[in-house]
Amino acid sequence: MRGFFERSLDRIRFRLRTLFHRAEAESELDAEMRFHLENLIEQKRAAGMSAAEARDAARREMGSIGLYKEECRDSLGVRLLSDLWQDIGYGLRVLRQSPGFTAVAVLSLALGIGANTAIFTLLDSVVLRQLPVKNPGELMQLELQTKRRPMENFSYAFLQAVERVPDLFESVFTQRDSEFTIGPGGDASPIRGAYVTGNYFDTLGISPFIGRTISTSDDAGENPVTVLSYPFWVDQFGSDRSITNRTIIVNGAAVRIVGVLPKNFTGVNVGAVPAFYVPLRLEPVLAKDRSMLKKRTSWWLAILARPRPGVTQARAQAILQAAWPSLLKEAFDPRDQNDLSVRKPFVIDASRGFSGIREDFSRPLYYLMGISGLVLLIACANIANLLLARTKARQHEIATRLALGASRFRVLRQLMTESLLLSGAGAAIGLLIASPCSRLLVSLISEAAMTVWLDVTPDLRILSFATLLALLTGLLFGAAPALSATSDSVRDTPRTATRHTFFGKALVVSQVSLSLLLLIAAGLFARTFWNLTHQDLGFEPRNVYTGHIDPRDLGIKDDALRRLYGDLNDKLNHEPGLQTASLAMMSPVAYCCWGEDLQSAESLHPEERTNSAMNMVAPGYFATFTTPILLGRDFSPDDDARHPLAAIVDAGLAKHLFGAANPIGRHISVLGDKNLQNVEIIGLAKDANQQGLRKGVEYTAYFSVLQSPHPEDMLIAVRSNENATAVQTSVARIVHSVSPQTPVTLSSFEAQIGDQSKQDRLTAILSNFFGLLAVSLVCIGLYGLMSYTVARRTGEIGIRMALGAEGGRVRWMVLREALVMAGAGIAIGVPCAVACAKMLSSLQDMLFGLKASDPATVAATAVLLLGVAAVAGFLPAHRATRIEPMVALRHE
Amino acid sequence: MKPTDLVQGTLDLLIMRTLALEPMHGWAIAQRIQQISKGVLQVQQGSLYPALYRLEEQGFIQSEWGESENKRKAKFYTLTRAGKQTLEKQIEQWDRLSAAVSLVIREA
Repeated sequence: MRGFFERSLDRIRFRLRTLFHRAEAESELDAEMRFHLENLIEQKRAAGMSAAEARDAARREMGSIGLYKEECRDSLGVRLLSDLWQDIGYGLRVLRQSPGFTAVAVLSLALGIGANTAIFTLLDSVVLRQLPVKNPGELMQLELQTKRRPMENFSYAFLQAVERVPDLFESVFTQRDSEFTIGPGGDASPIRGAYVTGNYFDTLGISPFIGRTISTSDDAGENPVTVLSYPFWVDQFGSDRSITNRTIIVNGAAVRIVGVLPKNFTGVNVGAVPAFYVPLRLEPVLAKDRSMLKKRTSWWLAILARPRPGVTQARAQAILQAAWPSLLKEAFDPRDQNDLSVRKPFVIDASRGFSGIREDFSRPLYYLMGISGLVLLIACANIANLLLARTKARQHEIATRLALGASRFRVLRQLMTESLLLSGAGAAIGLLIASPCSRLLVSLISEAAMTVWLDVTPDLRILSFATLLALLTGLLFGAAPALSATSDSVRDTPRTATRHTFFGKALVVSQVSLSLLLLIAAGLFARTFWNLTHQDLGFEPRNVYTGHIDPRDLGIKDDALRRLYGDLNDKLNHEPGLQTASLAMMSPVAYCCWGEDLQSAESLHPEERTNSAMNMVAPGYFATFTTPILLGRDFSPDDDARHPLAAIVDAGLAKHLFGAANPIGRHISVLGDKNLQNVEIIGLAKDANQQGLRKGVEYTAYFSVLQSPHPEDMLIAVRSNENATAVQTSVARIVHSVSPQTPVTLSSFEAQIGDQSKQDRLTAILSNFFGLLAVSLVCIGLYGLMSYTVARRTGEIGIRMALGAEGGRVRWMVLREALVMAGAGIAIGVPCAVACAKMLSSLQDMLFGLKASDPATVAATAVLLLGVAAVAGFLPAHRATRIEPMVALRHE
Repeated sequence: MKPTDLVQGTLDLLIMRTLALEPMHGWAIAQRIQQISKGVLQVQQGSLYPALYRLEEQGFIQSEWGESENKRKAKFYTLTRAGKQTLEKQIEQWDRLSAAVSLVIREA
């Protein structure tokens, strides 16, 4: 045993030496030959020859030194490398001989590998990749465990309190993205910028491209400085290198540019690229009335940190949890302290930054990765089947090579080289496809309002991924055909052929099962998207435009603000280009909510507190959103501060409170609001979705904006048939006529709602694209196998027909075989699909309005696949009926 | 008389047997085989060196550069432990084979 081990080691050492020190080995070979020659010459001279005679004789005797050296080299293992070249050359010639096969194989691999690489690129940049900063692995983020989902935003007071916890963090920092208006006018569309703490750039180890970054001293007071992102600097300032110390107007305040950031830095919020960064302490100056910096009740900052040396995640969490009671007292509003005392802070890994799109898209991306992987598997099965069929054609060649003394391993190596050549070519083209595909995916993800920015340029990781895929697929589809081609019974043609058909059939059956899984997923996602976009929202979003205004920025409030809103609503409703218009505090389907407990002494359950969504709206709201008023009336301009309070309730709330009785004229009170007591119900509206597409309808109570003592910021909603630009122009003119400095930007409400289903749209589109790809691959696979079977059975079919079998029977015989295979695939696939649906609870979360094991989808998919099998089998079946018995028999 | 061609495969055996005495360079191996066989077996250089490389690659012998009797640099080959074991087996096989062959030649 030891001997064997030593010998193996020797052999490896010898191989390595000769492979890596080829020149050295060659010169040793030369020296040894020369030594031999010299000895030979000496021997001849000793025998009495002259020096010249001896040399000639010795040379003659040695023969061609070059030839020996060649033979020695053979023993040197250099052979392996030259064989590889030979294999590649031969493989290329073979592939060129059958361009049809090569094209189909390379193309399907290119599609499969390209799709996988594109999805992986996105998955990598959204979910997997670490931030391009100093030691990203150390970064941590704080979160608070709550009932529903962990909370990741905190107040500035809490950030400062965490900073003061001893022996914990070296630096605590944050980045808060916000929308800003740039320039003196209010008309410019908002630009995304970010507030950052003074230690932000130092902690992340970012050095500026030009000038300097924001430092701790900038963030000590309200220092109006900013540093620009690279793309913003290029777009807006034409890469002007003398940019520093210039001033830009941000939200009406002059801010001095101190530097430009390097190209590859895009902040710690993955997917969002702030155009510029300003110190966090400048927030009160820029956000004015809406400032959150000093409010303990504003939870708006993600807290990131780099720990002191030696502090692990677990240690940091332990320290924080121990300090939690005192942190709570120090940094939280007394009202929140009670609720939060039972919660605990957690420390999570922040090496990949934080990201809004990661939350939305990581699950769809993982699913799409799985789906595209399945497509690649199906493509591999197809190529394996094609290779098997080719093996039969090449049997003669392979048998000859084996007979001439090539070892089985040698032939195997040759065949595998061919497979890897195919997969390599597929991967190369796939990589070319992947790049534009991932850019397309990014644009699919991008919201209307905010462009998602992701770095999807192929890097080393992407290249390695594609290479790995090429190797794996090459081995996967190449191994079985190569093994069967070189098996011992290679000369035993009939048996091999039978085995091939069996193996080929198994491949097609597994293709059908895989594509069944894939098509079911595609069907589920498509129907989810349909359900989301075709549900009855209770209003019609088409032709509605909304935008946000906040005149409080200009110091207008209370009565003045209420009057301003009244004026604005009047003017909007008298504008000829707009059909109807209104104001509302909350946008419907906005995923943001205002909910309160209601009570009504006149209801069926007078003691019960009923939680309901709330909204403050102006007259015309229901007409603008086309939510029908079922009973009573809409708010009118007279429902103002001088008149009794009025409310409109939706059908669901009315039914809960008053049953079938007429709710008009009854009264409700909002428990938490002393201004909304005993409000008379004047109207009953149809149920409408307030919370979001996936949330469905909740109880809703509407109150009049014109009766609100302290109105807040407001949503303008208008309905118009005119185009977006015209609507924007007229609304901006009207807003400026009542509040000259207030910026307003309208956007299509339909598009905003569309954004809510954007990840569902992405998943539906891509999964169906992959489904289509899978079906075509299965179709090709079945067709190929059936054609092969028919060709092989030409003789048998000929005899059958000679004996009087009718065309219809022959056709059915072939067709039945295809259908049986599809049936077998479906029979295996359905239980797998049901099991998957049970195991993947996350799948159910992604669906809307149907179950993961939805029988209709499963049944439709099965029928579709049977149809595909019939189509794929029809042509070969038809060809079988055209067989001339005499020709067939002669052929045999 | 034409020197006898070596039966295929026996050259390896002869080389290893020669090296079992002491480490030797290629030239010396050829000379020794010729001497001992009284000139009957002549090792062709064309087959000697490839055989040596093959044996080294298989791990039966090892090589090392040293100085020859006439003070020149030469490559010396040594039998490894694995080589010794293989040699014993091959000698045994050879004995059986040659006995069998001569038996057939005489008796048939």
